[in-house]
Amino acid sequence: MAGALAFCFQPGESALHRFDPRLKTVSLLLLSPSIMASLPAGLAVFSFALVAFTGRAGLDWKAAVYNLRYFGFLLAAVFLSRAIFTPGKPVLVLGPVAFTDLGVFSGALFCWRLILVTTTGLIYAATTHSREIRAAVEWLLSPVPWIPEKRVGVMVGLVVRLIPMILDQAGKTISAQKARCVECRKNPYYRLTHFALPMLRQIIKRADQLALALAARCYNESGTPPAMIIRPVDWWGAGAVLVLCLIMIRAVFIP
Amino acid sequence: MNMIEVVDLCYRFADGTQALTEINMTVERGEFVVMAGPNGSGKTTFFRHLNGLLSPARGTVTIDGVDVQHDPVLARQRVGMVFQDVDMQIVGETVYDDVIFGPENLGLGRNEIERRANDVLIMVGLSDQRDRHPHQLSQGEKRRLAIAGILAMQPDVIVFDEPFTHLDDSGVCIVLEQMLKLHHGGITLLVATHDLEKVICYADRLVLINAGRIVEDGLPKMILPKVEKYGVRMPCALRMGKEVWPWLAH
Ligand SMILES: Nc1ncnc2c1ncn2[C@@H]1O[C@H](COP(=O)(O)OP(=O)(O)O)[C@@H](O)[C@H]1O
Ligand SMILES: [Mg+2]
Repeated sequence: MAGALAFCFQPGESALHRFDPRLKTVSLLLLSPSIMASLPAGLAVFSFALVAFTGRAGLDWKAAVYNLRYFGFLLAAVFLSRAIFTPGKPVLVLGPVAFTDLGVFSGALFCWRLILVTTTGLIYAATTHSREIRAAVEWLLSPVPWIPEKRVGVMVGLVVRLIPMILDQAGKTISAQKARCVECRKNPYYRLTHFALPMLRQIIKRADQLALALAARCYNESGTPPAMIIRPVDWWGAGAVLVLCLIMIRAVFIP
Repeated sequence: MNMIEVVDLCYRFADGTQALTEINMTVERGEFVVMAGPNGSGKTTFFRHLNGLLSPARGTVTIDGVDVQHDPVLARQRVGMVFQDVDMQIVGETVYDDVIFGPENLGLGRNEIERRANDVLIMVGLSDQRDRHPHQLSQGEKRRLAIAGILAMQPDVIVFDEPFTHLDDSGVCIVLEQMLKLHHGGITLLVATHDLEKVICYADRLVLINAGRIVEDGLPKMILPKVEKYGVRMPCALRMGKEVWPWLAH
């Protein structure tokens, strides 16, 4: 697979890589809703912690940002719709559209939350091996009755392998079409249909090949679990995450 | 007992393509069999029956006395398969990670996994690359990694599907040397190819497949004169009335 991809595991030895996968997964599950509920002060604290802690994890940020460049369009759309359609005092009027003060505030806040949730998820995916994600999911689900956690684990393992493959295939299909001057076509409908269909066909074919490759090497529900031990430093890490979550959701309880 | 026993194997794809028709074949332990046939003759489809990736429409495949349908996981451990497209075979994030994928799925202990991984990486000459990304390797190295990933499961049989695809000359020699080493180590080898020149000198047996049927099966020197009738190119030396020389010059 060419180049480092977003959502793709990047091997390493950083503290985040060594953080126990079970506690790391629980942390992700706690952080995401906390971020979405947080106000600017909490977000600022979390952003600072994120930058301070993951700056040295040795992740390929440039590649991740480049791969997610289309995410920027989503953010812009979210920001604009909030900024324009939220009632409030107009701060900037451009012809028929007016940006309101409350709208700009709520748009910026929402984008900030989205960026942080995505970044947290990316960091999790980049520092957690698929076998660890699988083991953590099995561990989390094992106390839940009626859920065949081993089978869910196999599915999670497959999905984790499939996502980078889909992104890789999208890149290949785009290059193959650029090589034949798809950019000369201005009609977005034409481009979308002529991109989506070949891409879907390729993805199905590659998913099929991946399934064969995994089956040929006895991929199944059992197998050797990864060695997982919770060290004292892991508890400290989980504690820090809990404190961050409390800081972020504080506003929900203390108005 | 025969290592591989295929009886009356038929297979038809969902779209109606009859890919294999009444295949009968036995392979003894330690044999080196080359299976030749043009594109689309059914080599890949046949190989996928040996480790249960496909299930026969009719007939049976037995590996060392055990029906593949009965225990596909055992068949996959005993019959290692090197895919034609190695990029599709490699599933690990690093070289080491890919090698331990099979042993982990077999549920072996950590120490045993570590020991096997070290052994096979030395065997294929990749032990100083264990922490590299597989996609950074050359085509020849990738193929050796694919072999290592299979050897770590300690198979009795290894099937190579068009092993020389996308390889330059030195890549071909390295993979060929690896195959000979395995053969001398007692592993049963099946090699599918349409390019006989490189391997035929080393093979014990040549099987020709055409349109899903086995049409010839015997000693290479008996079968070679007939290959062109079935769309397989005869080695160059033979066409000029000379003897085929070993591809590796030792
Ligand atoms: N997934 C599939 N669906 C339908 N037909 C297939 C499929 N895969 C292969 N075939 C057909 O089966 C026949 C044998 O193919 P294959 O085993 O790949 O041949 P070989 O490996 O000798 O080139 C060919 O006619 C091919 O077109
Ligand atoms: Mg083939």
